[in-house]
Amino acid sequence: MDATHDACPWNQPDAATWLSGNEALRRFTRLVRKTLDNDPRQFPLQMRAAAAMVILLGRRGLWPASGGQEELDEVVGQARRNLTLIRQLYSVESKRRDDVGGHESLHHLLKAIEEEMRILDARLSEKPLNIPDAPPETWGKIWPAR
Amino acid sequence: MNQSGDHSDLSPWAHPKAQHWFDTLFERSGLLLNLREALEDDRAELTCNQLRAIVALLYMLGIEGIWPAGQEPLLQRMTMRIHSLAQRLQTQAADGKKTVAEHQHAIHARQQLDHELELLRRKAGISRRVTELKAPPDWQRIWN
Repeated sequence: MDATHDACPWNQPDAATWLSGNEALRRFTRLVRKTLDNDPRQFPLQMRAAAAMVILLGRRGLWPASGGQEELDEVVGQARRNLTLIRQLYSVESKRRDDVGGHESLHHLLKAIEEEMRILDARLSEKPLNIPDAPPETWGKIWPAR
Repeated sequence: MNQSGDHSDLSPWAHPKAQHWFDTLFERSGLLLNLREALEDDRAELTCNQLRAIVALLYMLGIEGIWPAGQEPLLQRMTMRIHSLAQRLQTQAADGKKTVAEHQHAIHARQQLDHELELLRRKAGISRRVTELKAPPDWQRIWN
């Protein structure tokens, strides 16, 4: 654990206790998990939205996980696997459209999903490697807020 | 690509089906109501770090497209309430007795809360300051 992680607000003992005891936050994350249990090929848009929630909130101390890091890794891994299937789905669509002249938006979408997959890979990695320097390009301006 | 050229129309929250999913998620979890009640409950006596965690949560969920449409005033209301609680904490901190280490730790946490809260105030459209404000060093990058 590095110094930055130690200083995260959600990692302070009083804050972490408050967050883990917040029933509404537990319901929120349970619903995200329930979505992740669905078939990504059937609900790709909802599934990608759920994966985005895992990217944003799937951090130790912030995501209520009674099973600790192992449970959190399981959620992150599930979101990662689902994004892989969604990417395959859109990739097939992209190739089909290439046959009829291509579609620029789909290429950007595929790139964005790959970036989201990399973020989750980095979250699961033991080593602090492959961490993107910027948010996915489709995420817009997250910050700094000016 | 949208008119601003940033492809944000391809974000995970841009599609109406995704927005509907977020709306349902907020509605069924009751998370925003819960946070509002926690902030408005004077007996809760939220600590500086707990306020910082709520600020972080609201900042991440307050992204346009994720935050329920039409509920922007709620974000503003909660942000103003946190501002008021932060000011109250400052007064209380001056009253209490602390060791030097505790005092320094409390000052650092307060400074971080001020920084993080200013970010949220700008997101909520409350603060009109235009000076550059970097991402809080203690938050990790939001995307990693």
